[in-house]
Amino acid sequence: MSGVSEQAKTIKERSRRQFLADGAKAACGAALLGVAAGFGASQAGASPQVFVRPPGAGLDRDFLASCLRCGQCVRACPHDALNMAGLFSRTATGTPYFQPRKVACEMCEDLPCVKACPSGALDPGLTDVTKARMGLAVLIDQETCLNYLGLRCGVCYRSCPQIDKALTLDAQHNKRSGKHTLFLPKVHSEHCTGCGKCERSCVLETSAIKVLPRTLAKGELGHHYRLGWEEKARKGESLVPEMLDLPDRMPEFVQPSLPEVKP
Amino acid sequence: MKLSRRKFIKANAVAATALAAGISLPEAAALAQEEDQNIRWDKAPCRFCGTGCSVLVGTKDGRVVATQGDPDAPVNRGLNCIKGYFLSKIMYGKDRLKTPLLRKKNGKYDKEGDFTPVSWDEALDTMAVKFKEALKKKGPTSVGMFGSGQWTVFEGYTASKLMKAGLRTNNLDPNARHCMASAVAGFMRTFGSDEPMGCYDDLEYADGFVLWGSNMAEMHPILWSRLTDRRLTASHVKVAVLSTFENRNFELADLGIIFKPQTDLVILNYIANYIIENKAVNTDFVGKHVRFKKGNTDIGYGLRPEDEREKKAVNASKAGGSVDITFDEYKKFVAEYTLDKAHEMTGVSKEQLVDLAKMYADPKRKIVSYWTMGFNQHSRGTWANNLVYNIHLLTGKISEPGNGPFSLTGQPSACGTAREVGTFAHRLPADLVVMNEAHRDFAEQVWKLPKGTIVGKPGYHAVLQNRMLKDGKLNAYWVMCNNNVQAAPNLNEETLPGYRNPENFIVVSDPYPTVTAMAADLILPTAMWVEKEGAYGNAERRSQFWRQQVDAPGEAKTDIWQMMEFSKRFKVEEVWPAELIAQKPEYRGKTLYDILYANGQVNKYPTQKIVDGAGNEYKNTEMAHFGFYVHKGLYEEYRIFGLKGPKKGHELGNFDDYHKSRGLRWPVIDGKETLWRYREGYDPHVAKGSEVQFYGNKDNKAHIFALPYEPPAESPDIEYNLWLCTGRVLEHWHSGSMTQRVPELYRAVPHAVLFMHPDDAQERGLRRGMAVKIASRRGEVTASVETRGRNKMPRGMVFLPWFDARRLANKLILDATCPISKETDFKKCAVKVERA
Amino acid sequence: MNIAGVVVHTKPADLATVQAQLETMAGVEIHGIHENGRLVVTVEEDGYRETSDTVLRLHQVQGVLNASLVYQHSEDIA
Repeated sequence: MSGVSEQAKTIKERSRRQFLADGAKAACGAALLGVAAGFGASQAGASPQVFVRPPGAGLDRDFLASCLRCGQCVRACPHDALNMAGLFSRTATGTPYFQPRKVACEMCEDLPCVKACPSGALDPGLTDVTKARMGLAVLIDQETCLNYLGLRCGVCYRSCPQIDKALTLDAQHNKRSGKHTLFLPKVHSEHCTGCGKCERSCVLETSAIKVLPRTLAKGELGHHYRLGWEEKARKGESLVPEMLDLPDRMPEFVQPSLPEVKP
Repeated sequence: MKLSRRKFIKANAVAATALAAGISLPEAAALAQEEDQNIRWDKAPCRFCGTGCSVLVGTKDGRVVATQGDPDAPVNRGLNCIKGYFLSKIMYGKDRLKTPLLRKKNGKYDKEGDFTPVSWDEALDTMAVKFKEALKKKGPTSVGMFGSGQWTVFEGYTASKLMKAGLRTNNLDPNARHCMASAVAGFMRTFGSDEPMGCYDDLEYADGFVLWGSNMAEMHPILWSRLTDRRLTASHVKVAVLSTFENRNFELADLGIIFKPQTDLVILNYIANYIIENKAVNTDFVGKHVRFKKGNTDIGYGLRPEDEREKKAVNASKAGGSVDITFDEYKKFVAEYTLDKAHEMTGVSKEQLVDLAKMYADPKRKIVSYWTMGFNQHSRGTWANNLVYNIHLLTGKISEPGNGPFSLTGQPSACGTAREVGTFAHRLPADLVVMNEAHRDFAEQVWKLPKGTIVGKPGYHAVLQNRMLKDGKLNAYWVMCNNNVQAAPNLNEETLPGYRNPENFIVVSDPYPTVTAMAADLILPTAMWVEKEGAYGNAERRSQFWRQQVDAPGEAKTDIWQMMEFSKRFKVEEVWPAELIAQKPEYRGKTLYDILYANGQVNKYPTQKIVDGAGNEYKNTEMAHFGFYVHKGLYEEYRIFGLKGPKKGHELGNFDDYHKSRGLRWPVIDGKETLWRYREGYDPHVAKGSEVQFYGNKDNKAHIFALPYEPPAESPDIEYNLWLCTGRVLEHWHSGSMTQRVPELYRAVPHAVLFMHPDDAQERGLRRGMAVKIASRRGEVTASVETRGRNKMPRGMVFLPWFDARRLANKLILDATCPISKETDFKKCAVKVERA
Repeated sequence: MNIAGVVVHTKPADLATVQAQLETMAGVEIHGIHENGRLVVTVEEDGYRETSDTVLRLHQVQGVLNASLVYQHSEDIA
């Protein structure tokens, strides 16, 4: 091959490259970059993957159908917790939501957001803020949660307005240290309003406890199964009382007794 | 920092990209971990509470970049509370002070001037002029210093010498006066020797725990985790919690008792009565080891003498007095504290009172009593301490594994420094006191001082210092390592007028511009925690040392540097009378620095390389500056007090051993730690065959005190109709000057809120979250109401944490103290709450 | 500060020339090369606009078949 043809090939190659670069491939690259850069840039702002709605919003499907996108609730929020979804938001534009990690719901007793709602999308029947179900807190990452590591954190627990109801600490023996206790936060869906104080207050770089929509967060027990101990407690006695229990045969000289616990 | 962060992110980028490309780049993975590889790890105790958790401090490029709980530390086994988790961030708040700041107008010092950066020479020279002026005008009682239970042992000792020997003033008191002075007074009064007999190992031996006014779940989180573990792993263990409101401890409590404020005194006497009535007295123990006394009553409230309550109190001037009585007289004294009377006065159910008394009375149940500020910050704090010892002494449940009264301290070195090196206005190192001539003689001999240098009269205690500042009797004043404008009671009427009194010159040494620093005339930027070599002593008598890990920022200097450089500015002739100098003519023309620190003892150890077991080398700022191993010199001189002093039982170990160990519990004798004091076999000072010797007292006996209930200094009335209690939260340390600068902790608990019963709120037309004004006779504070949350208040009582500099709880508090310990009652005063 | 991780594909035969060209580009750094024609590259710029320009320029380099962005991070370092 001559030097000329080599050069021609190079020119040809380059123009082809140029063409491609100006075309689809580069566009793709740019688009990819755009998305990625946008994602990266918003990483610090923790883009909401899911949307936590104000008190009384109920299921998102129903809420979106009745919300007028008027922004009255957002304006009524005295703590500036509520935002309106913007044009490029991943939920319906103009609908209210809050990001607990930034500003959690303060659970105002007089529910100004609900009162401001003209359409009833925020259920006017909700008068007790502790009955609100904005979402459900989930301790999503047990690996980084300081309580699971044995540290005495419990910040989420103490920040919970429904402390000892919605969030409790489950005390367990710390096998690693041998003489300390793990105080494990446990969310109780019966009482959790989804206000997000726990997510907001978590001291980790990224919160280990997060508020999720209830539909996403909650498991559901098989309808065929009951919890025996709860059923017994409800009835106050065994569901099958008056069962026969014969005494155990024991050598007469041994007095069976519980071992005494000594340090 | 900028560079390493960039490198770190790039390493992550490389690792992720290599993974996507299917290329294995081991060096990429290694690079991502490089951050950790170059970290130097060394041990230090946590900077916060008196638990004394040990941490490993990770340093890189001259900066503390990481910490971890020390997995081998006996106290915490690798764990930390949430404050300890953020230790690496406390030194790097954006507003660290880096240069001395003096109030100036037109280029000259002016009390009404603005803070202006000055050189260290100008700062210390100005200070020396002011101190000399005061000394000349009014003598040594017009100068003083307010120190700290957060000082290192070395710093406290340096201060003790500077004030008590150098400037010949006993006006040195630590912030520990606000914290555990009542425990000190109680220990001294009952046992003749300060600090607990037991240790944390009791947590694993006891069959029952009683918490008297201690929110251990929040304030001693790691110890609480051990207590909980004991309760969980041994089903027979019982936990009783006593408080004036429901705190986090009640979660675990088998017996959760809410009593009316101040009536803990009644419960304590009722239990003693129950023990006697039910023949549960350990008569053998009591016969051999106990004496009975009746303390003076009607002792006032430590208020200003012109206060009506003081004028009425018969024994205000003889608060600590007592007379000997017999057991029968004591029995008769407590007999009036019947179950009916106790129930009526305390509001506690009879079942609960009996259950509690039974825990102590049951001879088979080993019991540890814990208390913190509920007992200590009490207008009868010393009594409360004495009364709980009574119960342990009556039953003999003391000084053995799992049995004993244990005062939990709030500060990292309230024991090691404030108490042990003698920074109280009446104390000298190792349990000696200024009032005792033999003690003064011994101290003067160790310190190579002429006889009579140390003054025999106690100086102004914390609360009195603020009063004397206000009254213009204390004029040159140095506040170091604490935030007393925020911490002291009655800010509006006593503290601030004292600091801003035109007659006074106030110096504050601090790493940060605290409320106290802003109220000063001169601010000295100060090194903190591992920016210097140090030693702390925790609540179980464990002394822990650490090496200097990093340099202090800018011009910030260590406390020791500041005090020693200050001492160079005084010629002995300027501070001592001629007759004193005549005894030691060789001191003529010398400076206080020469006499106190370059005295042939403190400067005995030349500069040396400081190296750890792994061969890492450490700096020591003071050693480099002064040309000798300052810390070792100070320690070895101080150690003489424990080894040869008139009070036995304070022996400390070898300097180097402390640097090698995770702390040692004194007395350290024959290379062994002491876990339980006063009991034969455990404590080498107890003579063979004697079983127990409370050798702090000359007759080797402990004292049981007959002390009654007396009402608090101020109670709610028609106008000020609520009790106010102040206290702390787990997330913040004391006045928040460090933890409020950690963004994560600030976010976790940004403000102090007023905890209130929902019905009390409703009655006042208040709703949760509403801003309210809390007012006492002395001032007012605005906060928002919390009717839910971590503390559940009974009707008639509110709780306000004091960490929040924007809501200064101490504007509300009355400066009433226990008349014996002089510690303020921060737990009880009368307030009203209305909509702001 | 903006850091991107990019996998650059080239024919194995062109590896050397591509490498040489990449090394002349400001803000571009090569961390690994696989003989099958893939290079692990980081792009470091002040802002993400500059980063995207540089990543696009990678496509223009002779011998480069593709450059795919894998990792991107941006933050303010004060």
